[in-house]
Amino acid sequence: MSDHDDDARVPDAPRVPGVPLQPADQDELVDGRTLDELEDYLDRGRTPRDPGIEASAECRLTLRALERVRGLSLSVLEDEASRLPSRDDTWIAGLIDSIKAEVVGGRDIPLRHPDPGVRLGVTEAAVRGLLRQVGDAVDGVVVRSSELEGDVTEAGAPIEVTLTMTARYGVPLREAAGTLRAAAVSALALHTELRIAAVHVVVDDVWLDGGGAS
Amino acid sequence: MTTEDRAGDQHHGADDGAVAELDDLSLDLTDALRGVEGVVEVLDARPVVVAAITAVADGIDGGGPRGLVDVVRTGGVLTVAASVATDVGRATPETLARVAAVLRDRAGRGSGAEVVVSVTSRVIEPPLPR
Amino acid sequence: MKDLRHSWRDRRVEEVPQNGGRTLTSTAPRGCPPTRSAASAGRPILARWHPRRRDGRDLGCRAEPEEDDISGTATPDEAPGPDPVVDPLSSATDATLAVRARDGDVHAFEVVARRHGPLMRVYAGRLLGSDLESDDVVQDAFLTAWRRLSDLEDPSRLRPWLMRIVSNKSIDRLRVRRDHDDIDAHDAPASREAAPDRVVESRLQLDAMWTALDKLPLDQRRCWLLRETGGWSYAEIAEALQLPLSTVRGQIARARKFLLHEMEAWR
Repeated sequence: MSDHDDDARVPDAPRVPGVPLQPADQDELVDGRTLDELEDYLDRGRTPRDPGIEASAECRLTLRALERVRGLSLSVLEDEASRLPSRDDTWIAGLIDSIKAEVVGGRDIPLRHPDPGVRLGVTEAAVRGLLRQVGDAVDGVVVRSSELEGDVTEAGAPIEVTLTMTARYGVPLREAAGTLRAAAVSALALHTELRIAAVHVVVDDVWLDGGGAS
Repeated sequence: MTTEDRAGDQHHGADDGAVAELDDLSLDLTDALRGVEGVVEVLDARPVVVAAITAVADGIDGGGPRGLVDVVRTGGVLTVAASVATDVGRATPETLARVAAVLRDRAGRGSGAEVVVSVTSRVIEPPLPR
Repeated sequence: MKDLRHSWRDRRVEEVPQNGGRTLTSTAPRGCPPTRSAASAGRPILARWHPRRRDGRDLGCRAEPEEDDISGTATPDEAPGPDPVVDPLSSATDATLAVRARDGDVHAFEVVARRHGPLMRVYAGRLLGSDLESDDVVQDAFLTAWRRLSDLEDPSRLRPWLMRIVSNKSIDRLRVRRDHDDIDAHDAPASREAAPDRVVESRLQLDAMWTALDKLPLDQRRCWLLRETGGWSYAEIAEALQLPLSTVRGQIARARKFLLHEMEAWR
């Protein structure tokens, strides 16, 4: 998310050319390299290859130890997190309530009514939710997002729908897209009065069915 | 008199009797909508500010259930707005038309006021299990 | 809708003209299994996460199982809730959940909260030295995340993004504390959930690491976690904690030395 290009060590004191940088008291030297140097080397993915470091058994050992300790820092947290009991889920209900109140409705899509004193409408958010549900009902398909292009507030204006979906690997994509398209058109006809000019389907990811992931 | 009365509006100057009446109407309409075919849930149609004020007031007086239908009287016109969640299995335009009919009939009953109705579906979903 | 959503849609498309609309696919050519990125694999990620690599490859959440990978034991949705068989989202990838949540799907966000909330809570707890405040911090983090979902450029990097937010919220909490009393007056030893009985090499190693982290003075632990787990740079840590850069370097060096020493038995 942010760049980390200032990871490079900043010397504590201005460098004097020709004078080797004094390692901080806390840094041991491993075959002439400081731990900071070795960590930076690890950060770079060990490229470009530093022959001096790679040739030193001590350095290699230390690199392995560093990797382990870094990896374990995260593993230990994940491990602990995976064992937190489910009683902790009560906080989620409050969070979800707050969030529901913040869902943005989007444009109001009008529906016709003979009485001029009556205004009926469906929100764009409702339609997006509908299209996600339509996708959920198609096997091997998950609709991630949808877009309605065109003036939805003007009756009869042609609207192009774009559905972005992810599919289970192995599902024939064109067929799945076709099924999804047909289901979307039906659902939109049932719940809106939009004139749907086209339904575009974009497949932007595929999931492998090891454990039912999508 | 062109004072705008709104259910739940606590600002001074509004006729308390009229406001209470609109409160009752809002509550009555909310209950009525719950029974309409195709309505999964009645959502809060009141403007955010009103809802917030009401929430605070509820905390103070410990008031009873409030209506979620927004009812405003301006002069001789009663403007009624409702937000609902509609059943994914039934045509939303028809559901909303039914809602509008209920609102118009009950709000207009005996008041002689002209009624303007607005109904919005904010969510389309399966009905909740009973 | 913001155009931002288009920015990460893969542009390698195969356009297939069809009646009623186009179908665009941006996957690998038919016959090749898709690249098994962790995001599309959808398997629970118990892998190393290195946001700071600069070798040109975007690693994000690359699945690199450790020798002591225990990924088989955890599932993305531990909590009782919607039946995973019925709920297609309970095992969805982070990318899918992030996009759906941004699209307005509250339930998808709930799945995100259940999936990543526990790690964020443990992490915040270790940063703050207190489990009591970590709940608030995590709730706050999720509210912010919901509001800023459209800022997330690569939805598969949902977890590092969330960790970033909770790091920031934790730092904010520390600032409030600093204004009121000694910043590290509350460093309670971390309570640990009862570990399962089976004794595995990996279990002992994790326990040793937990203990070692716990032994670290809070300021060292905090700098260490922000860098190693939060992915913050030295400069960012220095600024957030209002410390000189050299102090931060020193803290991390000391922490590193201590942890290496403690874990030496595990070489």
